[in-house]
Amino acid sequence: MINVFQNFKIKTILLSLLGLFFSQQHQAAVIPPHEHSPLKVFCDLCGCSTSSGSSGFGTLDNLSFVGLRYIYQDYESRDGIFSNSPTSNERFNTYQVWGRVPVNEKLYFNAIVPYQDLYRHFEDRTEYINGLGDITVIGWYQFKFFKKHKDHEVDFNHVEGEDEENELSGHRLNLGIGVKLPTGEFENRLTDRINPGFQVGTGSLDGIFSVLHSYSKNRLGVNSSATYYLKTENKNEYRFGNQFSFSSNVYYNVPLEKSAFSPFLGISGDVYNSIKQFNEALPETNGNIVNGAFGSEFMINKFIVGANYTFPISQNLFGDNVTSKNRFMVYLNYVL
Amino acid sequence: MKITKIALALLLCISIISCSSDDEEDLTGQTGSLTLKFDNGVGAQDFIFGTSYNKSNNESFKLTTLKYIISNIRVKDSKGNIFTYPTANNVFIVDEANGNTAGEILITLDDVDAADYVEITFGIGIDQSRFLLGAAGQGDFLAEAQAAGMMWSWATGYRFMRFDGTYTNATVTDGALNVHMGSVGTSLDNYKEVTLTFPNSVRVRETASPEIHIEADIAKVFDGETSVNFSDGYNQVHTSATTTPVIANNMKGIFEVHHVHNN
Repeated sequence: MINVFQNFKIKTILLSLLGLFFSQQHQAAVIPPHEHSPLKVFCDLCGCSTSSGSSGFGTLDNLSFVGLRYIYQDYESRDGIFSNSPTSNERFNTYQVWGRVPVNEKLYFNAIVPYQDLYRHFEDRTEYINGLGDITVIGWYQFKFFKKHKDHEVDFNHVEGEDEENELSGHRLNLGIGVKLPTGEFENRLTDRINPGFQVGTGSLDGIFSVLHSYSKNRLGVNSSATYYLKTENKNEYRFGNQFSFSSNVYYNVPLEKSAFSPFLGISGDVYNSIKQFNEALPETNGNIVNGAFGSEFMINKFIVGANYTFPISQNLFGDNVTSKNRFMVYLNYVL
Repeated sequence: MKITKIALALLLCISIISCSSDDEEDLTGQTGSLTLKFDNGVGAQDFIFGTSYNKSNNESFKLTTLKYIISNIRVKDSKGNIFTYPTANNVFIVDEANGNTAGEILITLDDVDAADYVEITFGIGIDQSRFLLGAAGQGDFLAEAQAAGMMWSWATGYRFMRFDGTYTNATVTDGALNVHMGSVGTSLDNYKEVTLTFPNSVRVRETASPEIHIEADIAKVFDGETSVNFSDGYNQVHTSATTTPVIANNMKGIFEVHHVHNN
């Protein structure tokens, strides 16, 4: 009876959670008279994709670390409504202090503090903004799995009295819940431009829900993640579309004399819902992209140096008004 | 038990970040400005002077002048109230030559009542009641129209549009093209009105000046409700009771609200 009751309770909580997850915010609120929002923001490409699951939260080996990361992104946007309208080129430089800090054996935290340095080149001029971006903090809970022996199998290596339950299977499952804080400024002075997706921050407090799976055996490893971003309205009554990101990387560890080298191949993607302003969906503000990536990590002593190059495989961003060109990142981490 | 704790933590997180406000806004007495941005194109292409554009019947055209008159602009809000811009100033010439670097021609309306607008109506050309106010009743617009070449004689009245350039077809190369549609005095009325709904509400406030980006597809002037041929006399459209009403009807269908900006 108690069990039934508990199951019922858990089910109710999970269902109401799901309900909340997909429910929309109701009722438009008052616009504060002194505030403006931008004319057209295609997505929070800079605010989110640099700190998202598709860029990775950590290193290949899931070690604890503190480090620095640099991300370069290149986009092309249409500056007008016609097919022969001029284009602008967006170049996003993001510098991050990032880390993964353990609390205990099962709990750990990820934090990313970005500094954004963004350029947009038009045919006749260049716009430039920089500043502290949106800080991301995620708490993770790790599940480890143990090998199971099937009853009909005879384990010849089995030693009587040894606790076989302690043998790890190589699978790890991590559940993360986090927030993206509105620490970056959502600026008004860009309001007379088409596509100010160009913002150092989204101005909103967003929820992050992530599942990370890793498996390693011998020298081969696979890391996969799925992340959902629940975005809220900022003070300008502007709400970026909820986002789903996924990524999967396969790496191979090559031990050298006093160091190790891990090349990897990966695939990642993002799906964006439409942006809402004053509670109305804006046309041509949803989209999706699938990226391929390759790169490598090099570990020497307690340092990890990583680099990767990400390129679009298929994309349909915002009515094809925005084209992602490529992304490049390097990082230097100190293993804790 | 563990799952319950995690679920509770999740629930707490979500409830913190999903707060919203339900306050009603008082707009009484508030006014703001509203900008109409006219952007002339040919199909999916931005219109450029001197560029040759193909039309039906293997004919093509190149323009050196592209202008038209817009008047009687009014907007309807979500409650059904209509705001009409003051009549005396509610007449404008949209001239491609006056466009900004992106080829957009801006009309800014001041002192528009604050509201959430859902629809716009405007006229193409000059209606009979404005024409009947007489020359003295036209205000500054008469001189403006004369300077822009948008008048015949006063008795004949205004040219509602002016497309000048050349056309080419199987038999003519770079023949003169002059499409000057208008009403003819009070005997022929070619004034038409267009109503366009907005894809998103247009929120005029004291501190918010929305922009309505209107795309005008010039190709539809010749290939709209009716497809016309330059070879059938549509290379010279002036005061004819046969050709001008056809062009006036086609003009009615060239406009579309591409998007709106609320800032």
